Amino acid sequence: MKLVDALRIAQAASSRTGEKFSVYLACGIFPLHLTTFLSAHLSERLLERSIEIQTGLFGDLPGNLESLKSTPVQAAAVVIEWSDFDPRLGLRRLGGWGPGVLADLQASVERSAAQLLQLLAAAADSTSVVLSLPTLPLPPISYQPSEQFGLPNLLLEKMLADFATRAAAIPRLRIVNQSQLDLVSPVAERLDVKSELSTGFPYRTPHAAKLAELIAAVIQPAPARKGLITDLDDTLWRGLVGEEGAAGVSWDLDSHSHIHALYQQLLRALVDSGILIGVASKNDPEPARAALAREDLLLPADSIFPVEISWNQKSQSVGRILEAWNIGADAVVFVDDSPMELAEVNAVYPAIECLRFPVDDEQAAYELLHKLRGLFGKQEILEEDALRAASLRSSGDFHQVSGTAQSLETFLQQVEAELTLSPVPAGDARAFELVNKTNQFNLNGRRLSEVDFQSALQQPDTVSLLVSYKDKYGPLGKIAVLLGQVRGSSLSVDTWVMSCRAFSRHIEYRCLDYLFETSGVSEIVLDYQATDRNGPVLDFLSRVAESELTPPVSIQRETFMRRKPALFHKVNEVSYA
Amino acid sequence: MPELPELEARLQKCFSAVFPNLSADEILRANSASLATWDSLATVTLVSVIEEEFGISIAPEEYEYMISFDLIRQSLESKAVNA
Repeated sequence: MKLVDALRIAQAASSRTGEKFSVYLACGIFPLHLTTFLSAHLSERLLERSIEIQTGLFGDLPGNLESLKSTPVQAAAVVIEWSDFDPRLGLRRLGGWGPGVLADLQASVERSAAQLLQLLAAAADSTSVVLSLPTLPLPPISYQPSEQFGLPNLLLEKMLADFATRAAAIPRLRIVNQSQLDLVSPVAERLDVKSELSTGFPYRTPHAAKLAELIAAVIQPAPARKGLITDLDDTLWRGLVGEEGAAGVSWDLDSHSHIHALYQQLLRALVDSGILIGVASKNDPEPARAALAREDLLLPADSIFPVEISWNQKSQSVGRILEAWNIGADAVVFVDDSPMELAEVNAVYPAIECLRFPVDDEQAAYELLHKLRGLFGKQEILEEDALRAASLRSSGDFHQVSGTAQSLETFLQQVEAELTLSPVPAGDARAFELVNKTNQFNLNGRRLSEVDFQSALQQPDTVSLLVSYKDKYGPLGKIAVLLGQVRGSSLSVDTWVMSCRAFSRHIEYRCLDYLFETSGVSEIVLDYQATDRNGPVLDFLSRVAESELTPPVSIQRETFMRRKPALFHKVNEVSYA
Repeated sequence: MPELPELEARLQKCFSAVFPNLSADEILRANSASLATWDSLATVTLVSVIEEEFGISIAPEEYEYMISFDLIRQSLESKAVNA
C-alpha cells in the first residue's frame, strides 16, 4: 500500500458512522506514517467500523504503556525498537558505541526489558496487546568484523529472545511474527536515516506499510477457515489411482513424490487442530478407497469425512461435503491440481478459496503448505477441536436415524441428551470463539472484541449462559452462548449463538425455558437482526414469538410455555460464582 | 521526472491526499500561511507523499521552502529540468 492510498483510506475510515474501533499505538519512535498505515489496514479488515488510532508521547514508551492502562481501547499495538531498550541503540542520542560502554549497554537493556515486561503485563490486563519486536538492525556497536556475529550483538539478541519468550506468556498478548515480516520487508530496506534524524520516524515508507499490515492482521485476524476439501490424484498422492492401482500411487522420496507426503503431513496437523478434511475426487471409488486405506497414508482414513468419490462434477461433491459439514462456503478451502476443476468449483461456490496443488513445481507446492497453515491459523487448540470431526460423524448418524423415527419428538426422547448450563467463565476461549465464528444461529451477527466480550461478562447485571451438550451419539462440547441483562420483569438478550452442529435438538427451546425458569422474568426480548446467514434464528423465532418479527423481538413467558415442544434433555447446572 | 502538465496533476493528487478537504482550485492556491491544517506534521507527510509519488528524495533543508503549492511545483520542475 502506498502512503497516498493509505491517507485516503484512513481519512475515509475515520469518518465512518459505524461503531468506533480504537487502537492505542504505543511506541518510543515518532509514529508518523505508521499511524496512517495502521488505520488504513485496520479499516480494510473492519469495513463497518470507524477507526481511531491514539498515540502517546515521542520517546517515552514506558510512559505510553503506563497511560494505556487508563485509556479505553479495543486493542493496543506496542512497537518496540532497540532505542526503547537504550537510547544509545538509536541514532538520535549519543553516548558511545565503543567497547567501554558495551557492558553498561547490556545491563541497561536488561533493566529496560524487565520494566517493559511489567508494563506490558499491566497493559494486557486492560486490553489485548499486539507487540512488535525491534525491526531495525542494531547500530554498529560490535568491534568485531561485520561478517562475524559479534558477541555484543549476540548477547543483546539473547536478551531480546528472553524478553519475547516471557512476553509471549502474558495472557492476551500476541507477538508479530518477525519471520513473516522478513519475507515482505527486507532488513536492508527498513531504516530511513534521514527521516529518523529529521523527524524521529525511522522507517522507510514501504517498511511502515508492511509492519502496519502485519500488526493489523494480528489485531484483527481474518476469520479462520474451518474445512479443507482435497482432490486425490496428483494432489493427496502422485499418480492416477484408477490407472496405477492403490499400490501404484506414491508419496515418498524414492518415487520423487515426497512433496505429497508433506501435504498429507500438513493435513494431519490440521486435523489434529480441529480442521475438517474432506475428499472430492473424480475416480472409480474402489481403487481410490483402497489407496485411502493404505497403512502408510500419513492422514488416517477415519480422519477424512466425508469422502466423495464419483464421476460427477466436482462442485456436486463439494456441495454434498458442505451439507455434511453444515458450514458456509467462505469457511472452506478446496485444493486440486486441475485448474479446470478449480474453476468449475469456483464458478458454483465463489466464496470457496480454490488453490491449485502445483504437482509439477515442488517449490510452489511447499509454499502452498505455508499458505494453508496461515489460512487455518488459530490462537489455541480447544477441547471442541478434537471433538469436531467425530461429532460431525455422529451428527450424520443422528440425522440419519432421526429421519427414520416416527417423529422428531419420539426420536429426541431416546437420544439420552444431556445439557450442562453455566454462566460463561471469564476468559473462556471457546465461548469467545463461538460468538465470533457462528453465522447461522446467530441472533444478530454482531461480533465482539475480546475486550468488549470480557467487559460484557463483568457487568453486574449481565446474565450469561454457556451450554454444553452430549447424547448417546457422542459429545458436542460447548455449543451455545447467550448474554443479556435483566431489567425489571424482562430479560434483554443481545448475544445468542449456537453451533450449527447442535441444530434439531431443541436446545434453543431449552435455553429460553431455563432462562424463564431461573430468572423469573415474564418476557425475554431478543435483539434480533436479520443477516444473510441467520435464517435458523428467524425460523425459531417465528415458532415462539407472538408479535411481528421486527427487532427487538419479544417472547412472552406464557406464549413460550404454550408453544415449546416437549423437552427431554437432562439438565446439569454448574455455577462458577 | 514527468512532463510538466503531468507533474502538476500528480502534485495535485499528493496535496489532495494530505489536505482532503481542499477543492482543486484551493489546492492550486494553497500555502502554509493561509491554510490552518498545513502544520509541520502536514509538511512532513506531504514531503513523504511527494517523494513516493515522484521517486525522489527531498533534503530536510529544502523543507523550509515547501510552503506553497506553487513553490513546490517550481522546485519539482527545476528537479525535472536538472534530471
